[in-house]
Amino acid sequence: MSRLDPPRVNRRSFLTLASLGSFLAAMGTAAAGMLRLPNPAVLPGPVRRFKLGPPEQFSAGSETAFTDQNLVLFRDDEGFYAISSTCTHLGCTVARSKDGFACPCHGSRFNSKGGVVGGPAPRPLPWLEVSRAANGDLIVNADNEVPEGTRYSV
Amino acid sequence: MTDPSRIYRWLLLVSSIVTIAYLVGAAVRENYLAQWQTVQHEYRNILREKATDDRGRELLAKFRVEMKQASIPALATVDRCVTCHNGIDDPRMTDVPQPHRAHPGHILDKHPVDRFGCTVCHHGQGAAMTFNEAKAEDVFWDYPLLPPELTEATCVTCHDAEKLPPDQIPLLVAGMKLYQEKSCGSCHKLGGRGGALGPALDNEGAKTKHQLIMTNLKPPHTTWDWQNAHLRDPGGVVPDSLMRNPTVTRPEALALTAYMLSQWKRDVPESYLAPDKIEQKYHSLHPVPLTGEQVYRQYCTACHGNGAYTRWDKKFNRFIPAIRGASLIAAATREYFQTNIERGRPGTQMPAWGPHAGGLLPEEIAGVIEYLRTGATVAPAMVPLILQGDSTRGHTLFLRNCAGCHGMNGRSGIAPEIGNPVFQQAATNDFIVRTIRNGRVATAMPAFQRADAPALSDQEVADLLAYLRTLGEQRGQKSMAQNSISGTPSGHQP
Ligand code: FES
Repeated sequence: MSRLDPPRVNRRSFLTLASLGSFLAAMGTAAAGMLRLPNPAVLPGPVRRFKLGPPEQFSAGSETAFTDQNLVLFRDDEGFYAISSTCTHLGCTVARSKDGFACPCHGSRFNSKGGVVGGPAPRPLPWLEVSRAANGDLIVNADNEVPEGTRYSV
Repeated sequence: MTDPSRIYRWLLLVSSIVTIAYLVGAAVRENYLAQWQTVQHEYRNILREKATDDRGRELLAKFRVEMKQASIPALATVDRCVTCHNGIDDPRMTDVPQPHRAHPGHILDKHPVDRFGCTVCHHGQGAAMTFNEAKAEDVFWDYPLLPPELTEATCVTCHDAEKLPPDQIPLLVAGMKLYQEKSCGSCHKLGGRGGALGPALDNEGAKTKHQLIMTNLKPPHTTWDWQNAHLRDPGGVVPDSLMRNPTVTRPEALALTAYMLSQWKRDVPESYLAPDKIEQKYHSLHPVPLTGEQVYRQYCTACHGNGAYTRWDKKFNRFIPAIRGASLIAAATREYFQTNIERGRPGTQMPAWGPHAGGLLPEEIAGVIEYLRTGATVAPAMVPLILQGDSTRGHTLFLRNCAGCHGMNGRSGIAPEIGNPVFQQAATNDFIVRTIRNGRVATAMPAFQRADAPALSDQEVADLLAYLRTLGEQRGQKSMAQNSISGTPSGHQP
């Protein structure tokens, strides 16, 4: 036997390694499968992408409350933006106040950009993603938040 | 010499490799090459081709290969059809192959997928991820995908068919008209109005294939195939069916099929109903009376034809009376017609049509009596019958002259039942005597006292009348009644 020959693997250690390897491979695949479970392909809930109609029907400087969808759609010179009207405290529907939003339940107050100015609300009202459908209608996706100040221009 | 165990080692190696390759293949196919994923990759390419303007580029950038669905709790539906029909509401997708194409017409403008889903109109299995499963023509799905031409049947879930543009629902419009023209209401109830010989059709569209006899049909056993085949040959689909062949052409059968499928009292939330549907529901409580002629055409002609002649019915195995025959309308009073129509002839194929049975309004019954009696001439005065009759002799005469057609007790014969309680109450003595004497023109009932060849004497007619009147008595009281009534029929003489 020359020194260049690979060391002889005996039958027992080969079998041990092989079975260990297949065991780990099986566990790894199973674990990968399980890790996907908390992230299902679709959720059973209703769709929260709302078609709000053609953009021309909202004039610049206007604001429109969509009560069924719990959001307010604004249009200013820079474009469209939508703010959720679900209070970030316990989920009541906030009302428009003089300089922003006010929650009737525990008195949280927000400014007109959704920022918290008082009360128990822990987070500002989220800004929602605005886009357009294939037929040109505005779409607000209430499942996707966008950073404050994001505008969608048409 | 080779080691005999060598071949087994090779076998083991090969089979393990095959198994592992199969598992890897299955995993790839399941996760990366599913039908819907392939479809969405194709769609992305289409989007790329069409991304010529800002919005097109935006749509392309936003497109993700993922499962898509419209989940509508109000309709208890989750429809994943949009996973493959990605371009369904993209107006640019008119020149691309299915399943990428846009929905035809402008229906989605008022019925967005997000609010209505797909299966509320098209039926089928909304949660399916392949087209065959979505179609669901197998035995385990109650409402498989409707063929495109029959989809209009579901519009009436939320709309009043009479208020929809007729060119949008051509089959329904034709079907509704045919239902009236073919006088389906003579035997079937719809909305509480109609005969009682066949099943009520109010929820015909809700029937599943398991509720219909499919043994004589070729698969796939869909309810519309059944309706179609059954309309063309009822007896061939349902053995022993009493329904006569309604003589419809192929397109007519299809129209009636659509109309039948549309009969579905489906529960959808009020907010989904079109205003005209709510109005229709209200008006159905206060129907506008039909004219006598309309009533006759919709509810009588299937059995009585135009009413001028008697007709032998093979399925019923008896004659159907000529209710507009000259001799009948000359002899019968309004009250006679009214009693017979309102109460029917229990035990025969003639159902009751009063408001609580066949659902005809009092005005409509009055109208149809007028219609039946149009052209009635005033019956010439008849020599009154003043003789007393004897029911025992009358019985003998009855057996000899009448029982052959009218049945042994005036019931269950092939001619109208003289022993029927409603007939007995409705018919006056004058009417019966007149009919025996003069017969009925254009029917099998001969005149028993023709001027040229008198067959029965006045005395015999009186005897017969006395016997006939015993048929109206309760069964248990028969013998007693026979004694007390014999010899007194002239007392009833009007
Ligand atoms: S829910 Fe709005 S303040 Fe509590």
